[in-house]
Amino acid sequence: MTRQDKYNRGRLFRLLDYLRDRLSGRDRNAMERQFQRDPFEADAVEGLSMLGEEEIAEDLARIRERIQNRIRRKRRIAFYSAAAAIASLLIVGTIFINIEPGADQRARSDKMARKAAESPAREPASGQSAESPVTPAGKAEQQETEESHQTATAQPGEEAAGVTAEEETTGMREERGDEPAGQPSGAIEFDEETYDLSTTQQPGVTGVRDAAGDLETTGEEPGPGREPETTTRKKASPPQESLTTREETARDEEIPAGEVVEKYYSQTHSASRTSARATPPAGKRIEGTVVSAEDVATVESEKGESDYRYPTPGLGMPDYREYLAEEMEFPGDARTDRAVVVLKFIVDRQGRPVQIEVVRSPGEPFSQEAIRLVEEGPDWIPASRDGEYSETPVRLRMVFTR
Amino acid sequence: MRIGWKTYDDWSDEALVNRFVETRDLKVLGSLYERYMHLVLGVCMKYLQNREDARDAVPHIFEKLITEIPRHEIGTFRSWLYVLTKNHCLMEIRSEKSRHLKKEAWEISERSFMESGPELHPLDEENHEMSRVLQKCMEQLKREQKQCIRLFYYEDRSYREIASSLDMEEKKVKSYIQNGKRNLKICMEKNYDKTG
Repeated sequence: MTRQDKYNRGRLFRLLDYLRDRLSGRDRNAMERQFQRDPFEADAVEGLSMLGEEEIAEDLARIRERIQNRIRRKRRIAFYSAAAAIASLLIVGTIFINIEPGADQRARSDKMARKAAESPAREPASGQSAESPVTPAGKAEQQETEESHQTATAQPGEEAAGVTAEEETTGMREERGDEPAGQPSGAIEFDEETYDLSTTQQPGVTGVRDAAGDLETTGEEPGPGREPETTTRKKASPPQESLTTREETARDEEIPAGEVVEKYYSQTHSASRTSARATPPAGKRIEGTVVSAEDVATVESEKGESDYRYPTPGLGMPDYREYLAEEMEFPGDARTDRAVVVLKFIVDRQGRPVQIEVVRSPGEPFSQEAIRLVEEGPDWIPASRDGEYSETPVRLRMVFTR
Repeated sequence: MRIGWKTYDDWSDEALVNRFVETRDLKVLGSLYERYMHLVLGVCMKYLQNREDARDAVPHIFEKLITEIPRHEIGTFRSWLYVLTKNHCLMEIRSEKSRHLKKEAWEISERSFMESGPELHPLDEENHEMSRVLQKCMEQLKREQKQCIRLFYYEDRSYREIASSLDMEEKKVKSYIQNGKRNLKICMEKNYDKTG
């Protein structure tokens, strides 16, 4: 066992100890330091804290079982395919072996034998009639031996079952891989006028520093604020309720969404062509916008020059927006209910937003919160030209509402 | 993973990833996934807020790994998996809402998996005697942030202890620490650049 593996296993028990409150204050602190460094674990702990220790153990056991079954199934398939391959080498013309269930095949070869006895010419599909010029009777016999061979070596019945199972899982996988397009952003409107596309603009380092300096010296803690009223919040309601809530939200958003998107994108397009900075569409809510990734891709390739791609959130815009909406904390002491913050930043080679600059903001708490969201948020895909990394700044406009 | 064949306990994550890409042996992947199953379950629980959904999501993510791993250059498996898990959950949430699904969206979002290992902050370094810069920056923090960071990093107090001694919610403590850390980092980088 490696250090890493020991660590991983020990870590689970540690986490459980932490959750069940079996650690001293100092040990709790050590765990929490780790959480500060490792968002994966921090998220996981938050989630696991909703379950009891036995529930966790039970769930893990069931998951393990499912995954092991999956692994075995795959192995069985591999095994039987190999067996089938060998069998088909041994016996000339066994073309059904991977395709048809054994029972079916047996019935067929019986029938075939009978038919063959009557008229050999009526059986072109048997796969061997061309090469093996046997008498009808001989052929039927051969079919039968072949059949028993198959049963003995390859167990066609089970093999076929394995194949079916595989198909099922493939189907399932495909279904899962599909992508929903609904967009539940509630509290943050988000607007890519934002995406200032002028490639010539390289923010001066001093400017950036100043912005950062502001932040750091006059920094104010954004208050707790009210939690944004978003669908992602809604999902926190008890399971039986949550379904209806989600359905309702979906219905609410379905109609206007398409329209808004179109407007929204055409605007982005024109902005990108002229490189002009259009005035932000005041008060336009992009709430519930359906943005498919296809749109994003189109916008990306719209850029007139070579193969230019401006920075996009790694998750895709809809998920990113969702992230913002969920994580945003409206500064508690603010006197307004709505605020627009425009940030400008560069996405570095690692996909992290750097040199974050506040272009527009009603006040420090908002700037701070916006910067926090971007800084702590998911990775971006950096800008690129012809596949080469490009240091193009991106503008991100966020509308805080409460 | 106790399956009965060879175990891969002494392999690193990255070695297992490579091995899986070469052989497509699910058992290899299973051994790797086993290391993170509890974290994946936890994250799913956090996002899906439902025990059954979370329990279902974990094997689904395994399925996803089977197809996705060979298609990506994976630096740090751990952080990659975290992003994949979060993505899966977010998508799950949204698929509850609308069923006209687009495959391409997946493609786009997965193109993006980039990895950044857990971030190292000056405060996280094992041997942290306060440098002058750090000290100076600490002074500039807001009172609550300073208090929380001091208690957390220099007096090894847990969130809960800090919360009760400062009479605030644990959630606030966490966010003060986080924001304080961020401000410190910005401040230190700025000062470092000035002198260097």
